[in-house]
Amino acid sequence: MTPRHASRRRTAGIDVQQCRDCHRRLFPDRLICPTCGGTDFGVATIERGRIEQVTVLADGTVLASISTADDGPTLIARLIGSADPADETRLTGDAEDPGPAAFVPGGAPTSSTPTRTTP
Amino acid sequence: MTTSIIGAGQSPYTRHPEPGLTTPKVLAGAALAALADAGLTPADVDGLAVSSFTLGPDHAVDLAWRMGLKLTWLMQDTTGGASAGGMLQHAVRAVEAGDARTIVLVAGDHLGGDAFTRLVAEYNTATRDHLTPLPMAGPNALFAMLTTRQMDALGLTRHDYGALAVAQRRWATLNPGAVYRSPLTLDDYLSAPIVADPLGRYDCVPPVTGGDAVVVTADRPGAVRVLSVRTSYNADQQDGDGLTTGLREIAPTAWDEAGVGPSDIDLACVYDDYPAMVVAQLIDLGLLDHSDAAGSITRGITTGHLPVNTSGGQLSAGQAGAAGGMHGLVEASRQLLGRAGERQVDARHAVVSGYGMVLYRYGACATTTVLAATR
Repeated sequence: MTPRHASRRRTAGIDVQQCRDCHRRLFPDRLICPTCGGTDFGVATIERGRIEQVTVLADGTVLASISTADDGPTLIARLIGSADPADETRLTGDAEDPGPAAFVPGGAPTSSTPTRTTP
Repeated sequence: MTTSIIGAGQSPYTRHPEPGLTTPKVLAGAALAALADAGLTPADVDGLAVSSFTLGPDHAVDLAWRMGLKLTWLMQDTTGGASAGGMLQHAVRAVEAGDARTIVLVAGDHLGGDAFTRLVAEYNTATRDHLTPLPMAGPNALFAMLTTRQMDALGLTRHDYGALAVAQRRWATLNPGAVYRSPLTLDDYLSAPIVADPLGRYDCVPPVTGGDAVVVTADRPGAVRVLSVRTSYNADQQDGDGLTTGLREIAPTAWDEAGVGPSDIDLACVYDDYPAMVVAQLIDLGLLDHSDAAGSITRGITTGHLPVNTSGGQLSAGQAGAAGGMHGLVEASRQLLGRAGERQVDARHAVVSGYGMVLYRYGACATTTVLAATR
């Protein structure tokens, strides 16, 4: 895990980018909002999601596709503790979370994209 | 369209590259093979398009210099499995505009050592920051979950995907250039180790070192005429489920421009990183019935009624990095030129699709090329 992820670790949900104009939540980050074209972003926290698909790797790692409410982003996560498709799960940005939870490696959501030109 | 493919060639595909083999040598080898197939030499070339994940720190112009090519047209494509269609699209326009007369399109990689591991770990920033740390090594898990979604949506089972893999291996047994040529049964497929449930060993392409190339010129008799080339990038902003590719939107225009439709196609070379993506692309092209996907696979592909990936595809021939997209174009060209040896089919029209570049959850690039034999 890179220092970037360690510095943004949180156990209560994950931070994602949110467009300040249309409020759409985006993950991974964008430079321009694909919905409204906005370039002014803030941060939103998503605490829970619903497990859509699960796959078990040969080494036993369990990965999942997680949908989030209100047309939020679909996330790829590692499940900590047992869970099944259609279950709701807590989201965490901490790879060492004791669980049960879904670990989503994050990063610092980027803020506004510079648009002002120098006079 | 007023352009043709007049030659196709490869650098040998191998899981164990010889010491001293480099990416530039792989690319040059494929280019020379294609030129020889066209009856040309490097001195005839005035345009070059390159796609490679491992060419760095060199770029296309460095390769041109090392190959002794003097050019009036040059490009480097970065879209992996979709690069062949993208490069062909630009090459066609270049020939039509008079920017170049003889263009080599080449793609390939040297994936020896840990090159593949490094490639998939740092594929893009989304992979580096949000997937590799899971940990997840490569995209198999993503397409495992996509396959599960497709199974639910279309009522497919592992038997259906196995039928595709077995059919392609059957073709590979007739292809001396394929890395995996021993016969594969459905039992072999179903009993193979699971890589990422529900994907087993034979659902996942074997990375190899190798290269593929074609030569593009103005239309001439006896060559493979390019009827249409269409491309799509980021069609759904990664907001979808990955079961529909960008082909869905561009296929109608591509067929329209080509003047032929799905029912005229005698051969399909679709980007086969996973059997589920073969299904998805064939549906998007109108070659598979989504309302009866299993039946379509049995009636069309298992029987050989619609030959699909007659080289064995990447699943059996191997995936040589960025050459994966060019592999299908080379095979379709060989078939339409009548140079496919034991696996020759009677084909007048072929469609070639490209797909690739997983942005986060699935591929974002899609290309379709419709070709016609004129011999």
